[in-house]
Amino acid sequence: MKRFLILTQSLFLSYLRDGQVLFWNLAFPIFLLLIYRVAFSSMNVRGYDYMTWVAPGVVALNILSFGLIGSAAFMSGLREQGALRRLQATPVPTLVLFAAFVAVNLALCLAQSALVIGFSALAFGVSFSASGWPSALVVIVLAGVTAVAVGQSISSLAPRLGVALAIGQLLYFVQMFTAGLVLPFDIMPAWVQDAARFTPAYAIGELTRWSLLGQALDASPALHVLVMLAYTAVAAALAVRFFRWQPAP
Amino acid sequence: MNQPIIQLTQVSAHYHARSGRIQALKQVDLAIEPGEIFGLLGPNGAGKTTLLSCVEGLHPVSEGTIRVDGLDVSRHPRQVRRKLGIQLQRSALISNLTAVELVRAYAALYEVYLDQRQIAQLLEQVQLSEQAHKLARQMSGGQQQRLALALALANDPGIALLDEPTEALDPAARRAIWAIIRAFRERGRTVLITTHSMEEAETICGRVAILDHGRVLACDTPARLIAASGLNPMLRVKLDVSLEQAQRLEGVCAARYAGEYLEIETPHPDRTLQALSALAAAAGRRMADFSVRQPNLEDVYLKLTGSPLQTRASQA
Repeated sequence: MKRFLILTQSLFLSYLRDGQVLFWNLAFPIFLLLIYRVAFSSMNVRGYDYMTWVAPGVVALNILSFGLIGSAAFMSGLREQGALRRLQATPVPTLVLFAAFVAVNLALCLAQSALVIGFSALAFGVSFSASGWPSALVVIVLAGVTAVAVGQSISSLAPRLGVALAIGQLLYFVQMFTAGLVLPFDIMPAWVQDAARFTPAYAIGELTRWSLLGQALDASPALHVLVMLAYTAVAAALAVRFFRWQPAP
Repeated sequence: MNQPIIQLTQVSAHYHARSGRIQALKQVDLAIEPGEIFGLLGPNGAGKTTLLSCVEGLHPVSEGTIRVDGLDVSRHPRQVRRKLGIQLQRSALISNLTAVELVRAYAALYEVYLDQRQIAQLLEQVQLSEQAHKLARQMSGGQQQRLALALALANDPGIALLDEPTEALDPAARRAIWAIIRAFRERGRTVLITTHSMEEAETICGRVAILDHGRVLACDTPARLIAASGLNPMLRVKLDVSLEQAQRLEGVCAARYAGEYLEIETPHPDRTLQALSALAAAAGRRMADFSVRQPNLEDVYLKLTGSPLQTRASQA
């Protein structure tokens, strides 16, 4: 257990000292919220004022960027530095390494979500549903697992850190604008809406709003959970199947 | 004689590169005794790193067996790794952690928990006390290499496997690392080290194996390898004559150019030198900077493989 804790702490510190992670997951969401405040604060979406509507969207977006970009870059970086190979050369069981990695990711995911929620409430007076906290916690953890699994499949499949970053950012930005996280879903063309409904971002966004605001869903929550689990299963299988301890030759 | 602490029996291994399947080790037999510093000498691509990876259980063996302290590596990789301290060729550090954090973490991975004083001691040994709270990524290449060595010793292993620990270091830093390796051995520990520096092999290794294209060409103490090679003293002189002319001189066994220096293997350096000066005078060339040295491992390597170690290493 002590070994697990020291390993987790080391990975945690390493993550927090990564400028990219700090920027994308802690600075960027706050910056986004401020921009939205200036640009769209008079708008109403689905019966909510814009800031109330967009805050859970930014929570979802942030989880997505953490998994797709942050966690993928972190793993690819360790691989490229040779640090993964060095960890493999120790007697630590792979399961302990995996558990430490998951623990660090989920802790950071919860922390950055708390930051966005807290900042929106304090700075913009967004009032979140008081009874939704337990389901929000479950949704955030589940969303974190899905996003990190997708990110890890990218890291396993991409030959280099640069490629992993490019794929992660592409998937992130496409979903950012199409899945109704920060732009109202209804303004998208019908074909975009039809396609975006099947993205993990859409499921994450809907469930986050449902749990944090009590917003009604267009489908049962179980269906969205199922979509997330399906993405998680496929991505995790790819991540494990193509996982490499060393950079590609 | 003791039971070997590392024993390779008819070990073959291969890996897949872009150019296809590469046979990295071919029926290698080696027995490393407890308490020795054993060197694997050879150019890049000779199979040194693959051999270490096989001992570490990181690379599969396609034939043969490797035993570490009596344990079969392919069956008990984790138990074997527990006994090993490992330094990979690249320093392979988690770059966002400080020296202190890395030492603490790597020892913990072996379930060895060091206190602040022990960590400070280890960092002092590798002369990184001043960098103790510096992030690995902010350190120079030499500092990272010394830190990687500290991590290899953090779990106080019985055996250290060091892959080119002094590569690209300046002479002072190299000597510092040699001192650490010797001190480690003096506590009864075993070291298996790879190098393509014959100076390093001659200076710190009790025995060396010369590896080329995945085969062990020779294995013994440096002195005995040199004696057994039957090589003669080497005459070295700055002179521009044709190699054929030099080779035709009386008593000359072999001649080659190393840069602008003519190197001649001869049992009678004084006589050869006289003949050379006559040759130089006849051709109107100036002869300068002559010296005679005893044969070294480099010459043994050259004789065994037909190509010089240093040049091939720098080309690879």
